[in-house]
Amino acid sequence: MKNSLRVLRAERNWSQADLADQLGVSRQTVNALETGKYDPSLPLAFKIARLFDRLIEDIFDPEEPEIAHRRPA
Amino acid sequence: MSAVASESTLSRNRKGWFQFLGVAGALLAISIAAGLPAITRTISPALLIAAVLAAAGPLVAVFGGMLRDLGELERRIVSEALALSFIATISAMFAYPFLEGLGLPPLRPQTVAFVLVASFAVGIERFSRRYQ
Repeated sequence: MKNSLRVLRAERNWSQADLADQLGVSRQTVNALETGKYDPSLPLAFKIARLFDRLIEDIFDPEEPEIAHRRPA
Repeated sequence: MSAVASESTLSRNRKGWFQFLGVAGALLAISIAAGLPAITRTISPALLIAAVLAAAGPLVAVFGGMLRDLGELERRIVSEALALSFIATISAMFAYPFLEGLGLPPLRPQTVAFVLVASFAVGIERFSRRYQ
C-alpha cells in the first residue's frame, strides 16, 4: 500500500524517531510503513490520520480499483 | 540499511531476551537432569514432572511479558517466527523416523526443544530483515 507518510513527516521536520514516539511505535515500524513494507492496523492508521489531521484515505492509497457497490438482490 | 531502521523494539529489549534465554536454559538443564538415571532412580516421577512444570512457569511469564511490551510490527515478527519454528519442528519430527530407519539414534525431547528454539531465533532474524 502506498502512503504519503514520509512527505507529511518531512513537512513537519520530524525524524522517524519523533514520529515513532508520537505514535507509540518503534522506529522500525515507522520505516517499514514509509517504505510500504508494512501496512498498519486500523487503530494505528487512525492514530496517524489524527496526528496529521487528515483522513486515512488521504494518507494511504490501496492502489486497487474501487470496490463495486452491488445492490442486494 | 539505515541505522535508524536497524533499531527496533525487538533488538532494544535485550534484557528481556537474556531473561528468556536464561530461563529457557535453566528449563533445558532441569529437563536433562530429570532424565538422568541417577535422578530417576531416587526421585519419584510425579515430583520430577512437577519440577519441570514449575520451571516452565517462569519461561511462560517472561515470554508473555516480552510480548506485551512489543509494538504491532514486532508482534507480527514474533508471530511469523513462531509459525516458522512450529513448521520446522513438526517437519523435523515427521521426517526423523525415516532417518532413524537409516541408523540415527532415537530423537530426544531436548533435541526437539533445541530445534524449536533455534528455528525461532532464525525466524526472528529472517523476518526482522524483511521489514527493514
